[in-house]
Amino acid sequence: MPVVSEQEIKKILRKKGKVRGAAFQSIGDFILKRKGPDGLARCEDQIKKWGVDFHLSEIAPLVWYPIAWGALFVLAAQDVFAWSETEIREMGGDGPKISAIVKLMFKLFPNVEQLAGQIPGFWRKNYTVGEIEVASLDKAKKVMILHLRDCAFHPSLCRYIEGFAETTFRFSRPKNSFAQVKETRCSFNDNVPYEEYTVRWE
Amino acid sequence: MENDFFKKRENELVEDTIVLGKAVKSFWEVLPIPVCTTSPVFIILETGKWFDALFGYEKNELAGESLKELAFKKDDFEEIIGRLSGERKISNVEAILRNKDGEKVSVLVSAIAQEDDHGEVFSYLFSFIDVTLIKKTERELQEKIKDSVRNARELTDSKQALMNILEDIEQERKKAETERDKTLAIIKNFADGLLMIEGGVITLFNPKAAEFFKISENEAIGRDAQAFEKHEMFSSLFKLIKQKDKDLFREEFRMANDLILEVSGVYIGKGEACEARMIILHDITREKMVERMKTEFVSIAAHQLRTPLSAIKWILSMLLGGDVGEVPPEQRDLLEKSYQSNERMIRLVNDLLNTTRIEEGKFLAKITSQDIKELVRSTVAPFKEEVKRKGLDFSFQLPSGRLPKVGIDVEKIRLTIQNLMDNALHYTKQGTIKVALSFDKNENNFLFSITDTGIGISKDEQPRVFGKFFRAVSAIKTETEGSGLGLFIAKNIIEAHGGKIWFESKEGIGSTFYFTLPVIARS
Repeated sequence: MPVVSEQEIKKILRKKGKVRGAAFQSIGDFILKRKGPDGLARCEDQIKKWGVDFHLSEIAPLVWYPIAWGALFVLAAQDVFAWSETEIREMGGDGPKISAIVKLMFKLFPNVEQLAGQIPGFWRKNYTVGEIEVASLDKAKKVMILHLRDCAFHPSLCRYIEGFAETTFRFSRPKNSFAQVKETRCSFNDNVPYEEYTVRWE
Repeated sequence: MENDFFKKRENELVEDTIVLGKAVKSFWEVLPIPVCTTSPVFIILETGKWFDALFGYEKNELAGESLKELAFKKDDFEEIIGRLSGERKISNVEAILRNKDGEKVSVLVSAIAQEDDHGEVFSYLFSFIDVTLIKKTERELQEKIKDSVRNARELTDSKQALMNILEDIEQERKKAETERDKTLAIIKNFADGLLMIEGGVITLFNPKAAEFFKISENEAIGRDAQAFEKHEMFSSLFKLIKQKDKDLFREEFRMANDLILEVSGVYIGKGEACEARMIILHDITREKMVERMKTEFVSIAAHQLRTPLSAIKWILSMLLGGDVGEVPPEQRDLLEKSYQSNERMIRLVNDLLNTTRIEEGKFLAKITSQDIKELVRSTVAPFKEEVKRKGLDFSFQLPSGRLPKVGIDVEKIRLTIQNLMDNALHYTKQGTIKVALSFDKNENNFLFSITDTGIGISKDEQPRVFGKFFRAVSAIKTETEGSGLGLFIAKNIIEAHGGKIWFESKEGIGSTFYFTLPVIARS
């Protein structure tokens, strides 16, 4: 059974907004690592079937591209390789390791308040649609709530963002210390206008 | 219009950023120094190509890992972290990291903190210089230096040891010189002549030797001994020395009418490369003269005594024989005792005369070819009665078959057998006397033996048994009479015949005396 229906594809393609090319490179590196050049080619073919002539080799990291392409890239991999949400989450988790965007544009601070201050700006530097706000920050309980608004494409992509956010957060924490990001509310399921991510750390 | 301007500006900015991004990417690719960036808590964010190569990792493999995990020892990175946290930069700090295979990589670490506008650190940039090879070379050099220092120390110690040895040698040399000087002084002033021949060359010739040979030391020392064989004085002496190949010898040597030497020789290092012979020349002229005078005196005295003693014997024989009338018993007893005493005197005088003849070398008068078996039988026969009278067992063995004749002085051999029989008889109170004669075909000689169960001779007295005037203490206690010359005479007789005489004895058990006579036809 396909991961995404034709209707959902059309809906995604209609969504406005752009994302930096670096996002595609993170996804592409993961696919190449797991499935090699043939796997990448199959994904590109799938995207082409969905009406987008997409070639990773032509993507420049700092250039803006339709955010829908990024969504389709993730969904194409999930569809072609029958990956579960776990693999998609891992794909997101790998993103910061490869992404020049994270390294160049996201300042990592061990101070959680400073780190929290960076998050909205980071989103704005890399996406032209949606926004992330720090809904709450409890230093005593070591819990931070993030809300991502106006950027819901597909439930799978929530997993991608979950993984991406967790790795990014871990970059700012000592190795092996506890740091977790989980989606605690989803616009697709919970009748809320945002995706809520709860960050916990030790 | 304003939007077009901002859009255009944005596009230009994006292009500049792209160019900058490519430049940064190229910079990371071509930078020949291993570099990486980390988060403020040292989580590796990005690594350069040479960093990956240095530590053996794939691109981006280390992203998300802690830089501290690369430290070889956990504490190694603490200093670096401490200094970076304080000073915000470090330069060329030594550290040991490990690569993907766990091997040590020695590096110089430099790092700088990247701060935002508020001075807060948001990342660190690290660079590493691989000094593994330098460190290895340094360690090897240090080892070599240590070895060199150790060798130098050992050389110094060896030198010191050698110096100590040299000092010891010098001390020993001085001692040896002192000893040598003392020895030279002794040699030069020695009362006897000393002559050393080493490898056929005369190396020592002291002043006394020079006096004997009537040549100077310098004329002899360093000269070939053979060259002196033609020298009148040396030739006979060297002949004697050559004949005596024993390790030790002692011989009398007449150098001249008024010079008699006792020549002693001893080998030093015989058989070794440096064989030497020491010859000692002891002047015994005076002793010989005294001995000769003593002998002459004894001879004259004995001869002078002989005549009156013979006359006394004759007179006593006549008296006892009743030729001048019957002798009363009381007088007979006295006359017999006088006769016995006179006989003892005559025997003593005869012994003394024999001794002087032996010493003059005139002892063996007449050698004739004799049947030794018959001689022994006739000499032993008179003793059988005396043996029986003392209650002793007697055994007498003679060889059977035809036996060769022996060239001997009959009188002297008879005298020898009589002396040995007398001793056995006088010093055996109980037990046995055995006499035996045998012939050894292999040795071509006769062996005579007489065994008794008498008083024996103590061990410490045995070496002197064949000496002049020797009587053992036990013999004197047993038999007060006796000249102590019997065995001396017997020995000289047998040796003059070319035979050997010896004995075995145990005090209190008995003795056995032996002599051999070679079968040599003499006339």
